[in-house]
Amino acid sequence: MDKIVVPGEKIGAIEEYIGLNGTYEDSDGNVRSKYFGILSLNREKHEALVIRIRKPVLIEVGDEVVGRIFNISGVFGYVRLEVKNGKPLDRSFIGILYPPRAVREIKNVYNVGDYILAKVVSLKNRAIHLSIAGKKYGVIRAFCRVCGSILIKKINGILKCHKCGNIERRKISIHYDKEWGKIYGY
Amino acid sequence: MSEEFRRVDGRKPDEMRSYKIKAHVLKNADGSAEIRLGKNWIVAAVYGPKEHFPKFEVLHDRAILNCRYHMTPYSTSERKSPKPSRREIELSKVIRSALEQAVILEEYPEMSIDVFIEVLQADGSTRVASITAAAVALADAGIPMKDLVVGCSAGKINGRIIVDVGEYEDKEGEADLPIAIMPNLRRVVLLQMDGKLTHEEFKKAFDMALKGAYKLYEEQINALKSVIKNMEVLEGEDRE
Amino acid sequence: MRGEGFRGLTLSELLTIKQVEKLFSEGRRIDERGFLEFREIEINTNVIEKAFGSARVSLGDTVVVAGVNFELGTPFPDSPDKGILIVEGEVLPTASFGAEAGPPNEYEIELSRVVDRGIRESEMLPLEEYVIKHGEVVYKIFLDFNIINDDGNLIDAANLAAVAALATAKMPDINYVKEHIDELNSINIKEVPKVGVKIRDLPIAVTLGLKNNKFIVDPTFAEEIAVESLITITHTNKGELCSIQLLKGGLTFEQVFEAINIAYEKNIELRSILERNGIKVI
Repeated sequence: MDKIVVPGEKIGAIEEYIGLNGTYEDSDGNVRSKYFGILSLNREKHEALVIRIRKPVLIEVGDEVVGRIFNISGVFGYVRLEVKNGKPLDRSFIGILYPPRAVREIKNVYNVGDYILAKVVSLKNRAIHLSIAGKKYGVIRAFCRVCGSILIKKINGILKCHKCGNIERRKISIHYDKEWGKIYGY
Repeated sequence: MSEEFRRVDGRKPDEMRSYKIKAHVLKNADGSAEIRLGKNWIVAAVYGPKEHFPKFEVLHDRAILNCRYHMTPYSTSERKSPKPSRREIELSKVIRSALEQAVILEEYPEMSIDVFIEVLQADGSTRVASITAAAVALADAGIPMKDLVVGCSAGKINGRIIVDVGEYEDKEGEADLPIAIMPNLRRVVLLQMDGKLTHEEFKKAFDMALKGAYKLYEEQINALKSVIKNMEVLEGEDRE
Repeated sequence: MRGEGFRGLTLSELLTIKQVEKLFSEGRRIDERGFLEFREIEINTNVIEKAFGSARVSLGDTVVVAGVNFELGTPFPDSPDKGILIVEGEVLPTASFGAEAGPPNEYEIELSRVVDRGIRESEMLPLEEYVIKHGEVVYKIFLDFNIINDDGNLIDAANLAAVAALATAKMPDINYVKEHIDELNSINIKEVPKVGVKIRDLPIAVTLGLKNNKFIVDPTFAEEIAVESLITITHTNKGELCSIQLLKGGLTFEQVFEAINIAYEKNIELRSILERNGIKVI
């Protein structure tokens, strides 16, 4: 039943099929494929669907991403995304990060240079909006503001520099310094 | 037309050179394809859709399609300077304009899609071979398109109309007519001509080029279908 | 086509385009022209005294100036028995709000290459007669044109200007140069006695726009952006095609032939205008 189709290939007339994802209607009333992919026809519901073989690498709502904050403006963090759903990205995407709740001092939530694990919550206005609400999400690696060394998580949830002993706070993820950090080879 | 007439390379007037298209030949590119048409060897790569920089250039209603047609210095018998020539700039523009007709750019506003075409060896009719490969590369990248784009050329040498103009025929012939079409929607998206043709000769040449294009279209489909055969496991996409 | 990119269009241009689109759907054009009617064409030749040949052409508000120069040069290795013709055009920064100085962009390159192709492929000039010494010295003919004011249909206007400048040019007498071949270095090409240029053909370019499956000729700047497709078709004196360029958009297979027929009709009309100005193949 499943058939390989290429862009422009005719699937049927609009009277025969309702074109779902991966199809379009041309000006002559034909349903055509817009992808190179697999056609799946539902003859009872008269629905046609094309699933593409390869999908462009794009960030979608619900993706879990890891990135590094390269700028903070007001309370918003600008994040260069590096990992999507556990796989390294080969191209650049920039996300906007919001603090999970109103905060007085943003430096106690995240800071420039921190790696964060976040969830994509919206793509409105063609920006990638990230959230670190929830236990799972937050800073996964942070650096000392004084000497730049890695901050170690202490039992009570505060971060301490292993070189100079400086104490800092962040909204940290339960994965702080654990598995996600491995991606960077620390 | 006499049956005896043979072209420099022994072809009949309406005979194409041998051709082979392969899809997904480059690992890093999002989509890629390679075409061999006679001695032509052309590689096309597609990157994107991706975020476009600088941001002030973006189009708010659709993606930008960038296209570069480039001939490598060793592709011709005399070394060609690697710097883009005026000819290459013009061809990049007409190829882009043709592909823009097929790609549904409105799905990716504020982004850009790059198409890079590198002619590794040139043997006449490179622009139509390039566009044929580029369309396969775009489809391979999973980019939404209204149709594939396929090109073929026709020409005139010693008063005879021929299809799939080779390098010698391009230089010595009287006319050259490269076309590219959307085969299913039956639209011409690239049309250029130079040389002298009467209206009747043009009609004949145009019909010949169309026939050639439909032959290459079959090869485009074969190339894409063999991508799936070569894939061990289908990277399943969620049924949206 | 033009007007794309980050610069975009000014609001007044956008409003004109919207107006053009609205009128098209009513079967009208913004300047009340017929769909297959040219704007007023004015051709003045020999407007620049210092050049060997020149012309100023205005097509409605589009103004083009073209000039011809002759020089002595060495031929290309692959054609030692032919003179060299170089056709180049640029849109000057005076042409419109959006025009820029600097290296030509892809639309300017396309414009000059399309004009070049028409003149070259129609074999308007007998280049093989411009050889002074085989493989060593030939005439190098520079045909430069500039868009002074841009209101669309640059190719047709530039083609008319280029053809008019070339056809009315006075070239340095080749026989005189041949007689003085031993003292080539001391020859000032400007002071050589002049004779009229012999032309064998007159290529005429006609650009058509397509909107709502109807063709228009001579699109203005706003119309060029409003139409879906643009195609330039150049005919020779004998009515042969010598250059085609699909500039924008696409056509159905039938529309290609329809466009060629319209271009042929219009080419005869433009040819008679040139003839009225004394420009024709002798």
